[in-house]
This record gives sequence, C-alpha cells and structure tokens, in this order.
Amino acid sequence: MNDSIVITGCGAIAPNGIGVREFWENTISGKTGISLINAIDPTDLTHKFGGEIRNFRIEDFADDTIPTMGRGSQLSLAAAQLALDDAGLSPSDLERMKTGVFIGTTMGESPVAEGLLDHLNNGGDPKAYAERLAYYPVNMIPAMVAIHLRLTGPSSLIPTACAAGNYAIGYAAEAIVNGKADCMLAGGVDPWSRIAYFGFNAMMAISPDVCRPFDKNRKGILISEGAGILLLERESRARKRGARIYAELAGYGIAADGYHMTSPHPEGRGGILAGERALRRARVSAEDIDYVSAHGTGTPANDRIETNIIKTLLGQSAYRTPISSIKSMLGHTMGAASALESITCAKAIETGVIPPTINYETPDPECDLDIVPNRCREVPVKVAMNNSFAFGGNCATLILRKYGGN
Amino acid sequence: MQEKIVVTGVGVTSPLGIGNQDHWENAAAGKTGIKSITRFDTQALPCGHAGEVADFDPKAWLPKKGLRNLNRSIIFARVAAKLALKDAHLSEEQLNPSTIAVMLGTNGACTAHLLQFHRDASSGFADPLLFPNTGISAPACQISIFEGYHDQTSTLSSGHAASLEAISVGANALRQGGSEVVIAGGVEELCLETFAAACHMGTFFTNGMGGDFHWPGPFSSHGTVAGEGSACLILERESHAQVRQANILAEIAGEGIGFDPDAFRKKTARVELMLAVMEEALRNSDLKPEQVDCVLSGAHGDTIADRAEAAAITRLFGKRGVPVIAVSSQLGDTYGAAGAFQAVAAVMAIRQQCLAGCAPCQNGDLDLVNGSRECKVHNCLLTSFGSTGDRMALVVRNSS
Repeated sequence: MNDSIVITGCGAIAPNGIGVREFWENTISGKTGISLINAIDPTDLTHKFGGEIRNFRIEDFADDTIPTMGRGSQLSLAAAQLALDDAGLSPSDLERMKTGVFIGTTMGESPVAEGLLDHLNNGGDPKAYAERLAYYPVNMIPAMVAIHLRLTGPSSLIPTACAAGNYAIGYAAEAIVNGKADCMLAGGVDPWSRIAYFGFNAMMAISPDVCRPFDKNRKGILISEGAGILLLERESRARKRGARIYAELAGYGIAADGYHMTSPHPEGRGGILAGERALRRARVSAEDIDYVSAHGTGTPANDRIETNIIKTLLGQSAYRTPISSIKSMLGHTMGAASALESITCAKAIETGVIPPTINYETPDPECDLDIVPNRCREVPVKVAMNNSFAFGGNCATLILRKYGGN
Repeated sequence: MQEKIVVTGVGVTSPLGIGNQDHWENAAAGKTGIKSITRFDTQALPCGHAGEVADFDPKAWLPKKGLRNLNRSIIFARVAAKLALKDAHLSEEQLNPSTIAVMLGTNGACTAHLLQFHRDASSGFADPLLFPNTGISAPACQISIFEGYHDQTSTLSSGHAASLEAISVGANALRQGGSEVVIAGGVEELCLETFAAACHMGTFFTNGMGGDFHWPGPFSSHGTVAGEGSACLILERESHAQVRQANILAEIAGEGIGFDPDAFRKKTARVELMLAVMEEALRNSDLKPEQVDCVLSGAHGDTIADRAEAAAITRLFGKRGVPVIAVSSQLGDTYGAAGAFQAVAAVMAIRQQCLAGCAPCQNGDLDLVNGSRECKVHNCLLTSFGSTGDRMALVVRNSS
C-alpha cells in the first residue's frame, strides 16, 4: 500500500529553545542549552553542568491543567499542543478524528519520586504526598496528554530509555497503518532527573564540562530535559486537508544488543540490525543517505562503537555522509533525545541545513567520519537516518525521506 | 489473509504459585492468592493484604551469577519467560537469537529499587551496579540479555492495557516477518511507597474490624486489592509452530483499542466507549457476541469502571448472557500485568475446556464464574478498562 505515513507537525521543548522555530534556529547556530545545574546544589557537585529548561511554564501552552501532574506530563502536553498547532489542527478537528499518543521516556516522572523522598526526609506525613504520587506511574504521561487534549485513540508510554522516542514514533506509524488511529502524536520526554544524575555520575559517565561527541577527549554526557512530539498521519489525509508535510517516515528498525545493561555490544550488533531493518523497510540503500543524526552521546564507548555501526551500515558511503550529534548542544535529553533528533532530521530535509557537532577540538582516529564540526552546513537532504541506542541494548533507527522525493 | 498468530507456551510467577501447574491447580480450585503482605510493614496502614508472590528461590530457574543486583520485577519476569519457553518446548538449537523478540507490559516495574537507589544516592552512596536495573525497561532487557536475544526488546506502559498492548505489538512484529518468536507478557511488583499512597487515597478495600480478610472481588463496589507477578506467553506464526510441530494452545485474534479522556478527571466511565472497543475486537475476529464463551475481564474493583463494564457486558451479551471471570479476584489488581494473566487464563481454559473463577459476591446482571465449570470454551474476550482511561479488548480463541 502506498499511502505512506508523513510528519505534519513538530513540537519541540529543548534546553536551547522552546518551539521548533527557536529550537532549530539555535541548533543550527550551534547555540548551547547547557548551564550550571540548579536542581542540585552545585557546591556539592564535581560535575556541575546540565541542560535544565528554566523558562518553561505549562500555563503558556494549556489552560485548566491538573495542578498535581508531574513535569514530564507538562512538558509532553506542551510539546503535543505545539505539534498540533504546527500541524494546523484545532480541537474541533480532533473531535472528528481518532488520535492516539505514544510517548517514550527514560526516567518518567522522576521528580515526583524524588519529591516524595524529600518530603519524607523532611519529616513529612506520607498521607500529604499521596495525591501527588498518584501521578507517578509512567503511563500517566501519555494519559495526561490524552485527557487534556481529549484524545480517543491508543495511549501508551514506551519506557525504552534513551531510544524511546524512536520506538514511540515507529509504533505510532504501525498504529495508523493497522487502523487503530487516524493520526498519532508520537515522541519522547524526560524532566530533569536527580536520580539520573546520581546514576550516571556513579557510572562515571558525566562530563566535567561540555559534551563533545566524537572528540578524542570526550568524557561523557550531560543530564538534560526536554520533550519532542511529532504529528503523524497518512499521506492521503494530509493532502486532503492541505497540510504542510515535513517529510515521510520512510521506515524504522528496532533491535537489541542482548548483551549488557549498560555496555554497548562491542560490535554494535543491535544498532546494526536496527539500521539494516530501517534501510530495508524504507527501501533505501547506503548511498541514498544524505545525513545521519547520530546518537552521539559523547561517551568514549558509544561514539567509537557508533562510528563502526555507521561504517558497517553505509560501507564506503560512510566517509561521504555528514553525521552530527545535537547532544553536543542539548546534552542528553534522555527519552526526548531521539524525538528531538527526528524533528532535527525533518527540519534538515525541509531546509537543506545540517546542524553541527559543537565543542569539537581534537580528532579521534577511531571516530574518523565527517561529523560536521562546529559549524552547520548547507546540504540538500533527501534522506536522513536517525540512530538511537539505550540501556539494556534497546536500539531504534528511523529513516525520514523528503516528501515526493522517491 | 493475514497469517494466524498462535500461543505455544505460557509461564507464570503469581500469587497463586510459581509455574503453570501450581498456578492453574490453585486457580481451578478457586483459591485466592490474596493474603497478608509479608514484604513490608503495613502496621501503620489501613490495608495489609495483597496478591503477593510468595518468596521463592530464583536459583531453581536462573543461574546464580548476577542475581544479587536483580530486583523482584526482573526475577519475576525472567522466571516467567523461562517457564514459558520450556512450556513451548523451544530448544536452544531451534532458536535464531536475532529473531526472538521480547515485549512486556508494565507501569511500575523496579520502582522499589529505584526509590532505594535514590535514598542511597542522596546519602552519598550511589551504587553504579544498582542503577541500570532501576528502569522500567530492565525486566524485558534482562530477558534478552540473559538469553542472548537481539531482536526487538520492548516495554509498553499503557496502564491496565499494558500487557494486552504488548501481546498486540508482539503479534504485529510476527506478522511483519522480522521476528519468528515473541515472548509477550507483563510484570508488576508491590512497592511500599506506592502501596501506601494508594491506601491513603482510599483505593483499596479495607477489612475494617480485623479478623479474616475476605475481599468480595471486583463488580462488588468494594474497592480494589493490589497484586503483583509476571505472566509470559510464547507467540509464533501458525506456520512456524506447525513446522516445528509445536503444541498450539490458542490463537491471538482481533483487538479493539481506544481511550476515554473523561474517565480520570470526571470520575466517570462511558459505557459506549467500552462497548465500542469490545465490538471492534469481535468484528476484527469475525465473531458475533453469541459465539463468545467467556469474558476474561480485567475488572479489578474500581467501582466506576466495574459498573460501566458490567453494563457494557450486559448490553453486548444480554443479562447473565456470558460467563465472566475476573482474574483479579484471585490475584489482586496486577495492573500492567493483568492482561497477560487474563491471556494465560484464557489459554488454560481452552486447554482444559473448563472455566474456573472465584466470585464470592455475585452481581445480579453478570454470570460470575464461582468454582470450576466444565463447558465448551472456544472463544474468549479479554477486557482492559483502567481508571486512567485506557480501553482495550482482545480475542483469544482455540486455533483449530
């Protein structure tokens, strides 16, 4: 069947921009969203930097919201509303359609759990926190979006950590193809998490200063927060209502390392299988890829293994294909990362501009591909590949294609 | 014509028993798995009972290496998956690890571990070996890591519909052809902090005056009882199962899915939305209501949802028009794992040609199965209707 799935709306809330316009302008300008951490007293920290979003207020995006819902739900609802606005869909349009919402996350409503422990540590009565904790279960995130936007389609949270956004987008496309929804809001979110900070810090995976993917002296990630939501629908529906089409979701692939909870498989077998599946489903070959949005976390292991994954997937074309990691500017937005990176691919296709990998100073012979160092580049992008790899070996790759570009 | 997706094995770690035999014998005998909680101290709480999985030694099924860092959710799921693979007689040689997918439904797996990690970290000791296993995706990942599978490994959190969604996404992966075998199921664990919060919100049935705890069950408007455990099913394409001469236990047929956006905020549950989802599942299975032999209901004691579901069942099948079994009456509310337990109950009912349930409190409009009843069991309709608004139904039927 040729009625492909297309992207008609994007909502981005990132450390370097709220709304796709600001996010994209800053991302191609190489503007960082990293600052001194606020959620934990930085005098106690050896690694003091992260990507918190300081000026986010849910009131700017939605009225009459449930006051006790968590920040993850708020970020998701705001990004979903931005995506709907961007797609030109009004509440009365939504009433006539079956719209679902699939959102990926790593930590879910982590601040709610953290708040409980703060409350108890300060001698608070557990009863007084009970109502807040009711918003902790991770499925509350898409539920809050569905409740506030009055959606009647399938609502799921996919907690596959740092690849979750791509999982959500792939599964959302399936839901439309299988007739479970007319259109889907799909993406990922993570609020800033102290638990994630402590966890990654304990694993010595946090950078002491900046995130420098593919650089010889890279030292790790920076903990960040954000939300990215895309609106997906069938091409026929989009055309019928005169929607602006960013790109076609040409294919996706999901696989696992089946190896270790935190160390990537040394040969990247999960990433390779996910990429192969995506290429096959999208019916594109290595030479067709014009841009790769890397997972590019800035850890020694990921960037080295990802370089090999890309070389395996693209063969000789790997050396001719620009690759960049926006985590250099955003830090690691966890569940939101692959969704914001999918939005980046959609914008790259739309505008013919590829964002840079910033903070790049020293080449690493083990990461010797063209990683678009420090400055964006104007290049027509017909086909973009978005990689994401997570804890437990969860791997997902999306391929986006310029609409009308096959 | 899409190829049939069939079930070739099941495995459970449940409040009724570890392993299929213990679980089914106790289920068939109408026993309850709901007892006094032993894992944590409930003295200060108005409720102290739940469907708790009894302590067991996981070394009977899992190698000792690495067990120390694994929490209960991971252990439940790994043991259930192991049992299911064994039940399906899938041997090492038959399996290509890049074609075995794992899909689990859960909303709160590993929460106790996560909170413990944060407590320790806040006092200055963050254990790097503990952190990776605090994520909700850890049980599914640990199954694929332990067994060495590297196909799709996913976790879905769709409220009460989570494990029916996992089964559905698993079936879809098989239809697309990339996967040959799917381990599909669900897992949840009891956790003191979330249990306490639910107590304080008045969610649970409380006994009041002490003495024996007898929960009247769902559909009785008496509140709910928590539960935990894991259930896994092995799914394959029918042709794949036939080629290896597997024992085919049941077929995963059609589904209906949606969401009620008013349910949570307005504390309502629209009967029409539940009915629509059930009718969609039957339509997608080419079934008429009169062909349904049993409703395996996900009702768990949420008064508003139960009442609406009873009304939807009555509208679709007529008053006392179909036998109804709510697995929660014997397991407690197993939340994201409930759908998988319902699917296992359907498979067992079809295998035994017998319906078994525990319904101490009868509901006038519904034929709630109490005890065991031998009868023709061919088509089962599973429902998942949560107070958050999730709405899903799935048909599990005899494949022949």
